[in-house]
Amino acid sequence: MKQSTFKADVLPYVLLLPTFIILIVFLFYPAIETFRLSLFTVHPFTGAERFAGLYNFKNIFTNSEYLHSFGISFLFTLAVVLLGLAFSMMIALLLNERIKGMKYYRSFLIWPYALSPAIAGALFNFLFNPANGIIGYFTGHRTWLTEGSTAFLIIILAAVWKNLGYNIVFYLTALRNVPRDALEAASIDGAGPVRRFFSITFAFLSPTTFFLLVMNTTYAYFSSFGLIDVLTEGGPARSTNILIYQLYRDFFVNSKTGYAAAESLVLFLLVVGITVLQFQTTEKKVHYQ
Amino acid sequence: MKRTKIQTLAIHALLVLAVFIICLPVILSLSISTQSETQALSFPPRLIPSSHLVSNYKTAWNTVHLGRMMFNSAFIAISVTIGKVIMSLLAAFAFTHFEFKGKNLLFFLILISLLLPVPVRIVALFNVVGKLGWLNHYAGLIVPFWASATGTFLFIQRFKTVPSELIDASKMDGCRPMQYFFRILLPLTKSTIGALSVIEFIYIWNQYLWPLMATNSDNMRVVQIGIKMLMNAESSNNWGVIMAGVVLTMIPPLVVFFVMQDSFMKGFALQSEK
Amino acid sequence: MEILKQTDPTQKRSKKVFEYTNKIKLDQKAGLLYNDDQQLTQYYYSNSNKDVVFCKKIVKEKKMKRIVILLLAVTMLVPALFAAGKEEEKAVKVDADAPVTIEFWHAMSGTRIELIQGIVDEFMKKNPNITVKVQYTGSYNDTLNKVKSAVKAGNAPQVFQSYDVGTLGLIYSGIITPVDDAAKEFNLPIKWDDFFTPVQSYYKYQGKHYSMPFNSSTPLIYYNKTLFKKAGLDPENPPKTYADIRKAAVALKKAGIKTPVTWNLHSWYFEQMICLQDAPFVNNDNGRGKELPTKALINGEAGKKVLDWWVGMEKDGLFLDVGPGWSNHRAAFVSGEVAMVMSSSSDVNLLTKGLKEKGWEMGTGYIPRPEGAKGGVAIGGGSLWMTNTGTPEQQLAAIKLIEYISSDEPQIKWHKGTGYFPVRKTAMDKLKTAGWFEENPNYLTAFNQLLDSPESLNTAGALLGVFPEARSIIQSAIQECYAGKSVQQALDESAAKIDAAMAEWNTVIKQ
Repeated sequence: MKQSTFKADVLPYVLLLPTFIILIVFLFYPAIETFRLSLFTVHPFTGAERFAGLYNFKNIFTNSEYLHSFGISFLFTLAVVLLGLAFSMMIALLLNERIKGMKYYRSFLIWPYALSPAIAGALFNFLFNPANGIIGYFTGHRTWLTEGSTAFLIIILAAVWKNLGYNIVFYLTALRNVPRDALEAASIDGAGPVRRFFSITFAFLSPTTFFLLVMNTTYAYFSSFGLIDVLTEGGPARSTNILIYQLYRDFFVNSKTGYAAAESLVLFLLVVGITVLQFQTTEKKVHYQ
Repeated sequence: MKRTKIQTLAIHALLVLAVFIICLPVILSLSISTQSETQALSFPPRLIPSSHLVSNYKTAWNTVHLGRMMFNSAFIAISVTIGKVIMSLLAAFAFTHFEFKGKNLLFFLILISLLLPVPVRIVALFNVVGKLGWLNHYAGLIVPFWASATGTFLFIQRFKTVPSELIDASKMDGCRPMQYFFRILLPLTKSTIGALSVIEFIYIWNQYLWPLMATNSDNMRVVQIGIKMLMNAESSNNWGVIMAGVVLTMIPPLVVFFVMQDSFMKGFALQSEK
Repeated sequence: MEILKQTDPTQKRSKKVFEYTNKIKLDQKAGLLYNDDQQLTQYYYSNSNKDVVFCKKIVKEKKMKRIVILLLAVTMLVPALFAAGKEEEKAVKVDADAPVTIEFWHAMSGTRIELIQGIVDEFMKKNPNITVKVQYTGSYNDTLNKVKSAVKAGNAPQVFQSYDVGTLGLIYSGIITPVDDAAKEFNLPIKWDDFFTPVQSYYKYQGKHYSMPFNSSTPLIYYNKTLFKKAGLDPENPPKTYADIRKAAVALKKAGIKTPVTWNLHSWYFEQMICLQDAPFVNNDNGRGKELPTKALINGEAGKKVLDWWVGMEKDGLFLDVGPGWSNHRAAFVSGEVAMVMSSSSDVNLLTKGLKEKGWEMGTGYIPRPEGAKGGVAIGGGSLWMTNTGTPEQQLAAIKLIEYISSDEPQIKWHKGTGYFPVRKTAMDKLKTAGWFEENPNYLTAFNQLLDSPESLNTAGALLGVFPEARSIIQSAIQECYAGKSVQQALDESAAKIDAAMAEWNTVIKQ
């Protein structure tokens, strides 16, 4: 269906002007400038710059803390994405069954989406606090947040918990579009529920899954900053020091501007790379109508 | 597909369990927010609400000027939402209803902007906003977020579902583009505007990293930072007060969410229709 | 039509503003209004036709002080414009009585905000021509960042508070005026002999004082006398050495307190316990020599002794790991979960009260040292710095404010309200005469610990440009030791990381 259009010479540009002014001033220019700064060392007070080529990058990749952060972030993202999608898909399937009270169940399951990562951090800090955490009381294990390995699990838990709602919404919407007749036909053909799920439903959900893969990856790499800052501040012993947190510390606390800019560039390449990878591997598997 | 009673029961049971697990942290916070400092610190922990509701909320309010912060968060969130909706509408209108040179390039640029979230450009963004003198001012917290790829795409999708005949008909009536925009297109887009507004309001209300860096005086801080400050405040470890602050911070986005839930869901549903 | 922003009054743009305000007719309202950040919030300018006046609000207005600020701003503009170009010359003739406004940014939250305002109000009463605008600008880190941004934007405060670990960075920052220089320039010498030695020697670098000590504290041992008695320990005899602490902890554990000792995970204690052994933290005279420090010496014998003992107690279940942050360890002490805690000397009131509520009595002691160690403690906290921005009148006002805040009366008020040390010995004498220490013997412990610290480059405190980062590295290392890494390895790795950070900082700071 060819879209009819209006004839106008200047109007479309005028309409796009505000958006692009903002994009240029606050998005593209800072992005390019950040990448440029990664090639310089910058004085913490005067801002004086000195060209340093790949010096910052060399520093980053020979810094054990940064490499540790790199690995941690990757594991964190992997866990958040897999667990998040798996649980939300399961819950969405449950919600999709036509049962009484579906609307209420739905409301009470997706609302954490409206919370901020910082709030999620505060709530989970309270639950797992070494001094008076409730979970600590019920499980007898009190060092959830002061031990590296368990602290890492907690941030995954909190991040998944907070984002479940978002994923569920998308899955629910997608499930509505799964044609009932295909499922009925398969059922008549004798396919059990599990088989029906994997061969039909899952396929229809694949565009959504792909979309959520990308969104959750960016969520885990970037948006979880607030959660970390409130819950563990990157500790203990850097066990929850994901890349974005390290970046914040290096820029804002340690005033290593050039170094932080290099971290930004690496982060950018990382996320772009992951997104492109996801595009390529799932493009074959994604079924569009 | 028929379902046995047991299956239905099982589904209900699982859902109830899921709801319980998901809601547990917040139910607890509500209860704790009514307890005094020593009660909240009691070990074993005390789950029944107490009577310190008002005093806790008052303390949270006063310790970090939560009231001012809530105003800031609200003002910023609303301003960004309004600006973003307007700009996205205009941009989407341009892309869907006009042919012009460079259209593909500009569209591509907007697509690219999705790959440049705040953390990637934050080093220079901080300097740019600083040079504009907008650090620690509303402008620095609002204006950079007025352009939105997601908003533009959302509206583009919505506009594409509007039958082409409407445009032809209005052209024949001598309708100019902007008239068409205001009189015909906009009323049809209400629910999508609603959906985008909800998403954006919540997103900006929940922002943390940028306000953390871009504000440094109490009168400009936002409520998310207030939570961190409450937790770090001198008299902290008073979880009753902290939870009171947490509850207060949670309320506006939740209210927005629940009230707009229907239009929110509609907005999303429309998005996935072709 | 240009949007005009008032930054440096000597810039050409401000002249335009000045001219425009001249064109305004008499029945119009005044043309310039400034907010607290010295930025233009309302301005009038004429369009290309005539004196049609527009009004634009840039920033949300506050209240009535606008007019006063406006008048002061205009009064300031005139001499500033005339002084343009003469800024290079040292203004020997400074109008000490001209009305002047300065800004003071600090990082003291909560009730301290009012306390500081009270002190500043007193200062303004004594100096009616000086207006000081006080602002709480967040944490130390926030305040420092805000100052950095403001310097670049041209509207820096004249006085600001920084934390101890920012000292070397600020010395080399190029944005500050050392207080000794300002004192000399305006002939207002500061009586440093009146100050406690460790307090003033921290901020003295190569013979010159760069900042004015303001809120100084040391760590202190707090112990629960009542629980001590229960465990059969002498409540009037606090443990003094590492071995003593261990013995007391074991006894307390037997008496039923599971993990009797704690303090928060903060590198400060580690640094202090190295000082106590009269050992340096970094090379080149503990960072105070002619050359910038290049090597961290934390992995020597002194550092190892500290961590062997600290981590050892944690491993033996005598020490409770409550993580970083300043609240958990206090809560554990006040609730009786631990019987001994190390914390800042400014916590005396808080902890005494907390214990009293439970009917317990509190004691204090010097922080522990390994047997035979002969060093002392260094101070921590913050100090007041002057930026090298502003007119000579503002600089004079700034040094006067700084001097006033360090004088006895405000310092005594500050001490009583916060627990930080008053910076001068003369203030301590006044407190003694007034019987303060009889009522508050626990404070006396902290003072005595300070007085008993021998003066050396080690007890003056270490100076590093990368101190915040170094602290973070050390704290992580300690956590790694809790998790099983060997102390020596953790320290060696940390030292290497700090060395690398210092090397980079040293090159960048010179560019």
